[in-house]
Amino acid sequence: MIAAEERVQASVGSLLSVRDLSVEYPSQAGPVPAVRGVTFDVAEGEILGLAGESGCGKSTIAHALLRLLPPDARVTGQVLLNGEDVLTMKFGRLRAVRWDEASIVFQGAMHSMNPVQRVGDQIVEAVRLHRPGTNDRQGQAQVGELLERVGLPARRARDYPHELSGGQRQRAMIAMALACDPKLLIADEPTTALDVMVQAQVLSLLKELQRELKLGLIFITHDLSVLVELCDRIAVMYAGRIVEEGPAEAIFERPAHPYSWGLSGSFPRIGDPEYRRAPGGLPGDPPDPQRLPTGCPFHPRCPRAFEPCPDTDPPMYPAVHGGFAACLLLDSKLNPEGARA
Amino acid sequence: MAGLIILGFFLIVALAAPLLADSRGLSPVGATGGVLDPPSLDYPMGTDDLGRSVLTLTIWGSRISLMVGFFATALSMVIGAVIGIAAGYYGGWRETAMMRFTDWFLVIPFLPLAIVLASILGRSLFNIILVIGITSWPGTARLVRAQTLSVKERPYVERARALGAGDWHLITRHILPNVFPLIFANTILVVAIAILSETTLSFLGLGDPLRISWGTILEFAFNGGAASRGAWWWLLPPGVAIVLVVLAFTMCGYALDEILNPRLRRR
Amino acid sequence: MGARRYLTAKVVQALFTLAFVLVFNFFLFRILPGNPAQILARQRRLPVEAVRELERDFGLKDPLPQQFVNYAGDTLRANFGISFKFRRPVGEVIQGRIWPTVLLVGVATIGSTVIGLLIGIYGAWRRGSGFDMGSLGFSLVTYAMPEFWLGMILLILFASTSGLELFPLGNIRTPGGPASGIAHLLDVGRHLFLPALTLILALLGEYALIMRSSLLDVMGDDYIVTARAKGLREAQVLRRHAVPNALLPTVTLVALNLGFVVSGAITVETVFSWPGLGLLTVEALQAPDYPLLQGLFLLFSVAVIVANLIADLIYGYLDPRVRVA
Repeated sequence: MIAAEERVQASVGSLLSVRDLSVEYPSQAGPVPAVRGVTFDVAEGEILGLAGESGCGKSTIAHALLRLLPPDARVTGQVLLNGEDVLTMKFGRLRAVRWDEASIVFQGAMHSMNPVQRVGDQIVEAVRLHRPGTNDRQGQAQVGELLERVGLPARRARDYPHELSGGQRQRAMIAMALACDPKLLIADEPTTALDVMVQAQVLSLLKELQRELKLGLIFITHDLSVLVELCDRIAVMYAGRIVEEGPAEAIFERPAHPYSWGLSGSFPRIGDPEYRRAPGGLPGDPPDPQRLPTGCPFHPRCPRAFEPCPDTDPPMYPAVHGGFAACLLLDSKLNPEGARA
Repeated sequence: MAGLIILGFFLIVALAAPLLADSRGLSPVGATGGVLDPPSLDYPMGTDDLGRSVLTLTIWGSRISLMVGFFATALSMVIGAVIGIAAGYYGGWRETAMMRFTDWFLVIPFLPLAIVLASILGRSLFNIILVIGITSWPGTARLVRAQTLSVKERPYVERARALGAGDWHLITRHILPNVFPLIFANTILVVAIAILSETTLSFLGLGDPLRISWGTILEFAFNGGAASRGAWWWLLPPGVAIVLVVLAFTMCGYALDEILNPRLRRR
Repeated sequence: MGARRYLTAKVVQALFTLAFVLVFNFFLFRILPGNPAQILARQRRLPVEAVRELERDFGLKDPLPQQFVNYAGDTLRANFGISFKFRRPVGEVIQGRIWPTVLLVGVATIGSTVIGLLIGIYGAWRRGSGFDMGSLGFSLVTYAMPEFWLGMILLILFASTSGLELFPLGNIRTPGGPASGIAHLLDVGRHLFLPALTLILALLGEYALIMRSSLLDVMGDDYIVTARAKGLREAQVLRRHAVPNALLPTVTLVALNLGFVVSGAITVETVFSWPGLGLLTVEALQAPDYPLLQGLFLLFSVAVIVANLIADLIYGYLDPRVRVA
């Protein structure tokens, strides 16, 4: 656990620092843990990629950062945004922080915009809320600027969301997210529903804007390859936990955690009949958060599981790529051959 | 299950009516009380303008009201199920024609149609049942059709068809058993509507004047000036009985719907 | 362009339905056992000449197709025949009774919609609260209640000599009372109060339920989370985003219901002797006055069709997605 402490030390002065964040949803069969003790930092102007299969808790984290989870969700830990804890601040302060200091580009812009309001009106609404002095003309002008900045003609402000294509809608959503000059942008699977060409355009737009505006950016996706090009650092999540974290390229090239091998499509498949059936990806399904496997939650699907895995929940170990990974293979006592994956 | 308890209570009252109240108290000749007596020990719910016990009337009225409710619902269900299954099963132009017809029927306002039908057919219990039955089926037909369409596409039905099963076999062995739960939940909701309809039609003077139902009691009460004369005891017992029974059927219907169609339970 | 096609499609649909109602109305009064003239003759023991005259009035001697052509032509020219009871053209009789019903149904619809929507919104907002449970229970009970029974109970409480005697027992105005000016309006208002209250109470619960479930549906949508993320207050989220979207289905249903409320007024008008179309229907039923009944039935059906059309148009107007699609 020495490693974890080191990571706490490293966080001072960052734009966002999340400490031991846990989220439980209530259910008839008792609380369901969706996020279990997640810790990470985002510095100003840094891009952090958050990767994992659906249901691993990455979207829950995105919502928890601005306290947008349903009221019955139990959230513990700290979310320090510019040093202030979002989770404990007064509701009035929270409303002022939302969108002004951090905004979100939601998954699937089709449903994230109000279908019966014009796009421009929805953008102006955010501006007016946080800059109360703004008059109609200034608001209109600002909307036009924002739309043009994301590559849409200003007249699109008068369109309804359904009149835009998927890519245009996502651009409009990005424009809306930038409306109040936030320091931090959270992009929750912003390109998932788009086709490959449009996906690439939206990605390069995001990257360009990030560089221009020196945004801190959290990019959430299930597609590790997308993150490599975009991000400075990557955190891989499994079953509500970060299982590997480190420099983007290093994680993609030399993942230390067997789960990351699977995500990056570099699973050793040859010779093992079990994996022939699931080409190019992970065999099996992500675990049911209500019935997590004992020990390392990944062990039932892990091609490299060995004796201690079902009993020991692995802590974070330093990995060769300079980051950390939660895998017992990296424990020099349990696995003397070392961390050679 | 408050709904079930209320329903059970009224069913027992209806079945045990001869034990609970003397049927001679229904005829004006056999009436023993004074005119419009307020509730007393002898007449716990007072008397009507002919001196009959309102309690006796209400107890016996439950028989006719429930009976009309059940029979009218049965008729409506049969029509709705036949049209719904036929439309869903056969498809094509037959489906289009039948569903158009159903949609048109949905547009025709129920009460005026029932009034017109009842006035042409004449006042009788049978006609009341008939009128309610043939005016309340379109909703069922649409539900049943939708369910039939989904059942029809299931693999085992396809397989049975491929093995050469005839229409009749497919409908009775495969479609009907799968559509039935839905029909059943819907039935319970329709009973509530049928009982309310009986009350309304009887109130408007279209019921059988010789058979006492909760609706005809209210008709007598209205014509006897119960409202202007302040005879609340004449109105309350049948009215409260109607509200309780309809409420109970509605509650049971929704409860059953939740059990049978778990998809709806989410929200 | 999309708007025009939507409009055309809806109007054409309404016209087809209207045609069906015409055909249905025609057969309803002719195919059923015993045609109206025969029934009438039986009930009134009319002399043979009178029956002949009736049959001629209905054109019952002509072949069926010819009868239909005549009937359709007459109907389209707003010629609905002569009322047996009033000995005047049916159209005229109906015209004289239309406004009281419009007044009653109008006031009741506006009242029940406004109050019902507010109750539904508040219930959804404070889901599971005492208010929510109470209004749910109220809605279910009023749904289970025959509205004429409610009317009679209100009469006993507020109008009868054993009650508060605050309001008149029935009719639309005091006979021999003021016929014009403010006094007249007040008089009508006093007569309107109880029947309108009855209808409002009868409709309220349903509208509250619809609004509540529609709003609960909308509150789970993604753009509501977006609105919260922008930093809007909960009340602003509700007012600017949730309620306008939840209103779409609700307003449509209220408009759809309008046509049925008109016929639902039949029993309430009867209880309060409110001289509108509902009371007229009961009078025609008791006579029995078949031409009048036929005319009224057609009118009620048309009311539903028109209400349907209005609902479609409102929906098209409120929802930008329909306008284009």
